[in-house]
Amino acid sequence: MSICSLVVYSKPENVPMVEKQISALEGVEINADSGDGRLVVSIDHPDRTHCSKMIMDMSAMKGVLNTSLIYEYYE
Amino acid sequence: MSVSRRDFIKANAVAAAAAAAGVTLPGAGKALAAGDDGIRWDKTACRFCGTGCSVLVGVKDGRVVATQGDPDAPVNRGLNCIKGYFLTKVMYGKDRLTKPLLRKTNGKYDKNGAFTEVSWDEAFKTMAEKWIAARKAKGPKGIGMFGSGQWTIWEGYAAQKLLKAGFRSNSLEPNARHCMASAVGAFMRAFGIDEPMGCYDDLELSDTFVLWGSNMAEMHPILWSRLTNTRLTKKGCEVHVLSTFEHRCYELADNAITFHPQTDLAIANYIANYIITNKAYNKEFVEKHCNFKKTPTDIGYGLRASDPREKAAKNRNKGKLSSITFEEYAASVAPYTLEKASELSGVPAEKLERLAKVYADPKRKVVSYWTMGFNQHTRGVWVNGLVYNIHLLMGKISEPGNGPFSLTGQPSACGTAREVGTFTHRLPADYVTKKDAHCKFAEKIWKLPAGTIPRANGKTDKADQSDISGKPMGKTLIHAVAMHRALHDGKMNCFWVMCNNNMQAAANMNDESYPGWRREENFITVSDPYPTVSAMAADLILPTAMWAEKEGGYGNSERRSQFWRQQVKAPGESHSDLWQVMEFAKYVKVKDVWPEDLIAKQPEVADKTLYDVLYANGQVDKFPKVQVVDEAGNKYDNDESEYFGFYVQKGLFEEYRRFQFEGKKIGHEMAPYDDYHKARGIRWPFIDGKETLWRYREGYDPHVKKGQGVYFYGKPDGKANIITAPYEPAAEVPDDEYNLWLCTGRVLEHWHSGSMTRRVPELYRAVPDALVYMNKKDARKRRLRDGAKVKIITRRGEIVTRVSTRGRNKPPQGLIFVPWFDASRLVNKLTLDQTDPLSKETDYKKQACKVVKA
Repeated sequence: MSICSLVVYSKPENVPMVEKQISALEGVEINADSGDGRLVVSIDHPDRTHCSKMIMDMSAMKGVLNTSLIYEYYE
Repeated sequence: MSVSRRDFIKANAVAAAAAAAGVTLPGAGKALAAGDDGIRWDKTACRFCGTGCSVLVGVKDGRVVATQGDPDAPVNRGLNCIKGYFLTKVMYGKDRLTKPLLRKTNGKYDKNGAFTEVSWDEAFKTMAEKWIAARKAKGPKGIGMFGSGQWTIWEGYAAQKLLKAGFRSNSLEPNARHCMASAVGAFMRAFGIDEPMGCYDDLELSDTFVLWGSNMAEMHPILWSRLTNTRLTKKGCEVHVLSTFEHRCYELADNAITFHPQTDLAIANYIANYIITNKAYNKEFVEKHCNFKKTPTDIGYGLRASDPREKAAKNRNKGKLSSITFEEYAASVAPYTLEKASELSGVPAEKLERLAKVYADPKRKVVSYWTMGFNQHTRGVWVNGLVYNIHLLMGKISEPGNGPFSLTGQPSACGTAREVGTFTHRLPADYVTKKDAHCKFAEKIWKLPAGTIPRANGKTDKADQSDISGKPMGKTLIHAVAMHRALHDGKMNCFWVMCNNNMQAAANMNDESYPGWRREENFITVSDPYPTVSAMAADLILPTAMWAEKEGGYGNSERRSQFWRQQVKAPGESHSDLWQVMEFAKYVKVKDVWPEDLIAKQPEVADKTLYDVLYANGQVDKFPKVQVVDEAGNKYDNDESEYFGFYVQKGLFEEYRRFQFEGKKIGHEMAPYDDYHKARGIRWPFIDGKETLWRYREGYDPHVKKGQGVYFYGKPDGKANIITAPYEPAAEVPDDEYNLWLCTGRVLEHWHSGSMTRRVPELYRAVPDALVYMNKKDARKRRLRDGAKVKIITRRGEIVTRVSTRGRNKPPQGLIFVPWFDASRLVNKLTLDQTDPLSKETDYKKQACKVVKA
């Protein structure tokens, strides 16, 4: 299993679009929204490869400026 | 795992992310990487880019099982990028090398034999024989070592001693020659001391960010996160991005500027001209703190002397500065009007003017960032300098929120290559082999006879230095690109490549690199954890312990030095570069490489090995071996200390520090060794227990006296140089046949040549191949669809790959971008070995090519 958390950055006007796309991802949850373009996101999935794919997908997502991984645990 | 424990970990993960983003979460406690489940947590410095993030590594049963962006690290504040996420996986690639491999036929070394497992003893015996013979036969340039900005500080320092003092050869270069040499050249010319005056704190303190030739979003993602954070949360903050093609940073840009290659020279001069004609410059600052200079023009392109472009150059390789007045300087930039800059660069006038205005506005704080776009440039030293000119004219320098900032590509290009000085012309702490007195100073610290280190001109006390070859030492400097040419021409016969992949990285592989490495009489050693393109082209491969498999220290872009403890054991018989350098020194005797008259000055060394005189010299070996422990009492290995019997890293570092305190040069002072294990890095100059955030400014830099305000103490009169330089065209411009610009570079997912990141399955899958990024119209003109197989052809060679017209990089018409990480599509078969004639750094960004259907 693997658990990780990220901060996802986007321009404020793009936040709804980004949130919609992230919500559709398997095992991914939006935990907080700063209101100015920064989202706190967590991934919880049995497969570490899935987690990394989700990070890559979010990084490449339309409207996303940047993602920063904060924490990862796997076993 | 129990549900409650899983929830607990998840809550902690979310809390850590919220804390990093500065978002308040109700009820979230602080419980980050805590010592539970038998996991031992410790800080390490990331081994990828020059940002210098601190990453917490969790080790259980001798393996890394968890990582976390270090919340206590001032650089990354708990953040981590994708490469950082996979950082620990780079140690666990399936094809790690675990034994030395020598090319052999019938049990004997054979240049064309097959790689065969050998003992370290046989490997070093074979190598030493070759090195001693080449050193004797061909002189100081007969051997060479090509190290790295990914070497730890002490690895670079040990190599510096081995080559310059041991083998008496200045043929030592780092791969940082390919990435930071232009930055160094410009710092030395303008300020007399290397490395930036500002620091990352400016990412929050400034209100205008200008990226000149830096794709920070992909290459320095954590700095980009901080910049993005400021842009999103600070009112009035602006981001200006300049590049020759559209990339990820454009998404945040308020002013996106795509210019024709090489015309950054014209744009920077236009801004200076704008500032002067609008009388916006800071007259008092300029008068008190600046001198005006000009540099010779028409200086060639660093190609072989036989190239027609070199023959045509009026002032080939010249860089001697001469003084001019402010008026002469103003006249030199006067031709760069808005119209002219717009015409040359292809950038709409209003965009250029908007950029000029942010610099010229005295109320606006501006930081300029750049990386390879400026450094890998045949006029790299010039163009770095042109941005210094702008900041100096405005006095927007050396203070919070204002300053030019050259970003580093590698984790220790600053800490090792530049500060330790593992370049052919350098010694530690900005001392140089060009100066007899500097060499004598180094010899004194190293307890070696005067005249040991080869001077750049081969003379000490105005007399020729004698050499083991029987001939005078002669001129001794040889830069990276010249090393490959010397191997090609048989003038250099032994070459040791460590901690980099220069066969893949160096330009013009077909004509220069490969034929040189495979030349019959040449003996090439490559030390690497993996069978890279370089390793496979070598004659001897040495398996290397990497990153957290050894105790290490790096220095990042903002003068911050960071140490880490050894976390895990290296596999098989692999050993760190430090071990390899020091152990190899045992196989060479002083009398093998020093002439009699030099030995006569210190006769007791004759039968000693280079190891004895360089490392067992009563200084390096003075700290006894200790059990390494952290503040919590956790224990760590130190394999090098265990083997050699003393605290190797500390001994080398403390001897190195003497260069910072005992000579005439000031401003390089670092903290004692043990301090770094306790801190999240310390920024030099470190004086009286305080680090320096902004250099040359009173109140921040302890070397600036009360009342001086600003003092550029690297220069004798305390004044920085504003150096004028014109726009000059690139070496190889597209024409009717080769009708596109070819620009090479990196991508987010892969580090440099991909020798580590391509072995991480997730990263490999994300970006498996190097594509050619192309404008849709250019593709259509050539009847190419997205995904089509194509041949890219230059005057040097060709490669086959696929077209991407919808990828993350969107080149304008007339330019293609191809990343260089892909060992199966070697883009350096295409590139030209052109360099900045002053810095000798290769320009990988501008050559002419054509693209046809494959």
